[in-house]
Amino acid sequence: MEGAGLATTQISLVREHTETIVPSRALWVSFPLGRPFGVPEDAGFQTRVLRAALELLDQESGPVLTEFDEDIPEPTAPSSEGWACPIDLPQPTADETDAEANLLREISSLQPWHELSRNRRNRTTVGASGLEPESAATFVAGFLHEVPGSAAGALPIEEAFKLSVEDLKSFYSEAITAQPGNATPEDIQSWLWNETVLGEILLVLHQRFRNGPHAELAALAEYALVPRAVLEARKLERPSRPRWHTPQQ
Amino acid sequence: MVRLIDVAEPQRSFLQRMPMPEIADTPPAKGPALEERRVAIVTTAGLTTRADTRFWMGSTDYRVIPADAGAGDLIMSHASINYDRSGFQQDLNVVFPIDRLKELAAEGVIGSVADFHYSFQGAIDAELLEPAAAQLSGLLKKDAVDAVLLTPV
Repeated sequence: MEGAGLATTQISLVREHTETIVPSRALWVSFPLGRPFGVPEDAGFQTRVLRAALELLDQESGPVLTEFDEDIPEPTAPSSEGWACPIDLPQPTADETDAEANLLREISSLQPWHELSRNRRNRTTVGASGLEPESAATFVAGFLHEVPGSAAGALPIEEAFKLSVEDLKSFYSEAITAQPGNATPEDIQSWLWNETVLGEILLVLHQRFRNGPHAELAALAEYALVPRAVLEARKLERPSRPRWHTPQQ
Repeated sequence: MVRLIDVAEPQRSFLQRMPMPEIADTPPAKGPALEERRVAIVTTAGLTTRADTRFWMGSTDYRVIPADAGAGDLIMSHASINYDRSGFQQDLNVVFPIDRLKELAAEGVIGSVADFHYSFQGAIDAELLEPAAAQLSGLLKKDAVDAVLLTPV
């Protein structure tokens, strides 16, 4: 683009990568991956980041790599005990056949908060799969029993599965961030993967897909189903079998 | 994000191993002062409108994001699950600052906002994106753009 006469400026999230690539103009920010403009629902903060990046366009010699001089503000702790989801969600069931019902109950429990999120933010990011959350839940939970031969619409089964999973995760995240309590990204990830039926189902499917005969689902499980950090943590903390396979005491 | 040395494993090793593209040593393009520039956003956040084909693992093409697309019309289908999406779910502008850009145009900080912006899916060898990215220069110039904000996710 620079060669074509288009001046570029960019946000850098990983400084070491930018130092290797050496683009013409870059603003390094100390924010987590996924938040290049820093703080949601803080227009002032976002504008300061944006202006700092755009003002680099006035630099006519380069390359330029500068640092944004603000970090994301520390979240206000909701209590001395830290963040916790205030809703009593269903516990993962001892019987796998109940997983779908428990997942639907979990979604129902979160529904009022998702409605609040949609009304307050005037948007939702749910919808990539084209399914309503309940239908996406039924579709995803069905993989516990067998891999369907086809999905609604023209999508390959693995793509329909992935988009349905992302829709469910978006639904959960939007609902939980509408609740009081200032959940951080780490809180949300920990809650989703350690405390929800959805997280349990996805962890079981991750193991099954990796060891199963469906190559595309195996690839999905390898790269795009469970975050690396979650897998690493579960390797240390997770029981050898999913909780819903554990006989009730 | 913090420097790589502060990133927890195994994400740190993954980021360290990512291949980085070699970019030709091109002098920075010159142009008018910021308050006269027309700015477009090119993101690798895997954004699409609801009507667009979703991104999938290995996608190397782009999607067009019209400047007047509503926040509720933009969704994310990035394949990677190793970054936080909750910020985007709360506020489009933390990933794609289109409202902030329009405000800067209204205040006269920049000249104007492009009619069309573009979205790729990152987490892929950047050189594979080059054919599609190469098309953008011509498209952006047809939109009278002379400044591009590149942003990752």
